[in-house]
Amino acid sequence: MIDETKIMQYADGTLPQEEHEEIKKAIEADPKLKELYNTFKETGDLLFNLGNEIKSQPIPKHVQEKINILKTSNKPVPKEFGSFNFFGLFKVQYAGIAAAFCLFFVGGFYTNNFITPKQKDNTGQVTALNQKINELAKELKVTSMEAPKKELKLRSLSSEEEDLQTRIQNLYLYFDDEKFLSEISQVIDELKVNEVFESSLKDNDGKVVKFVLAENFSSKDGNNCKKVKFNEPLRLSGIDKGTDVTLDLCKINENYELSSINFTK
Amino acid sequence: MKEKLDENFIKSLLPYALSITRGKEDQWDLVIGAYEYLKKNEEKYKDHPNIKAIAILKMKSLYKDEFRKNKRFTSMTDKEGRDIEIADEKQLDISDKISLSFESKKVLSIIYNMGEKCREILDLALDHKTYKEMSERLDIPIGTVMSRLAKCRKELKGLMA
Repeated sequence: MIDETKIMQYADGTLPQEEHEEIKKAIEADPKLKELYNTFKETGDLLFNLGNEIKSQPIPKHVQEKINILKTSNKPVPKEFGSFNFFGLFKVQYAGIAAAFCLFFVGGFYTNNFITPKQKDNTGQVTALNQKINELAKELKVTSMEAPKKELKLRSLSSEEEDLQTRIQNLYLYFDDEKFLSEISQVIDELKVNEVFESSLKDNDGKVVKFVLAENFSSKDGNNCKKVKFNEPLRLSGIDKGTDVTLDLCKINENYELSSINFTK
Repeated sequence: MKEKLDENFIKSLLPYALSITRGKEDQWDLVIGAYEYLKKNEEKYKDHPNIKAIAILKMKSLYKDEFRKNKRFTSMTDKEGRDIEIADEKQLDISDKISLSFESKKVLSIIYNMGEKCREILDLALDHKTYKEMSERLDIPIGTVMSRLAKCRKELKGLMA
């Protein structure tokens, strides 16, 4: 009795030469074995060709870019360390002001989630906040650090004690939203979901900041919007273990505007 | 890690991703998701004999999570009373973005609806692994590889008929 695996090996061309004759004769003599041989031949070719077809698939550009990013981190890295470093500036000289912000916000804002649009008619609270920050900065004689140039409205979600404002400040120290908008506006309509956009912005280590189009959506007003994510978590303060930051950009009067910045851990 | 996480490895994940997404665009999301997971856990899996199996499990869970999030499953109960989840019909469209032939997609779909042992070994065959490599990968004797492969190929032929 011929073992069917011998037939398979014969069909696959992996049977030792010295056994060929015996198997060949058996196949020729038995229609059932012939049918089995055809089955193995057919499925062997099918799997081989399908494998080739799959291997010949090009890796899409956006996937290749992600792979390249992942390859650059040779060592296993916990999530928080794969981040852009926006915190390097905050060394000894800024520790004081960071602490001041933290203290200030313990009294006022418990949030780790949202900054929403810069509505000019709805910013009294934040204007006061910015003034307070400027005063603190002056008191500490820190001149190189600017308060956020935008008026922000904070939508708070209760959370643990957090250094949110420090993170916002640091984000804005490096994130030039006007420059970003002007750059991304030129390509955003062509970007596909998960495609990476490389900006000219750099983090504190000089690393180029990249963004990924996370999703397309419509705002409540029916405007076309894009959710753009920083490609890596950001380290925005000394205690920040990594913050995922996404930006909502909505098309208003043919121009994309930053409608919200979302912070999630 | 015994297996190198290179481009060939990444492409070897594609058949499974294609089969569960039915050729939709998000196949690459699954592949990259699994790859990212493995990269981040290189230390953890450095001695694991079957990294691809880990990647497949990861893709499976990513896909289920994604579908659940977007409510693209219809929960049903089969004849034997088991809970099953069926992807909504509109999600099963074959995307033109994949250049595999319709026939190839159909074959992939058949393979990945077979039992686990067949899926596993035919997936390795798609990756052009030798019997010996299959044996090492699956950690089973080469004789078992051959008999399993023969059985699964016969089953495949029957399902394609």
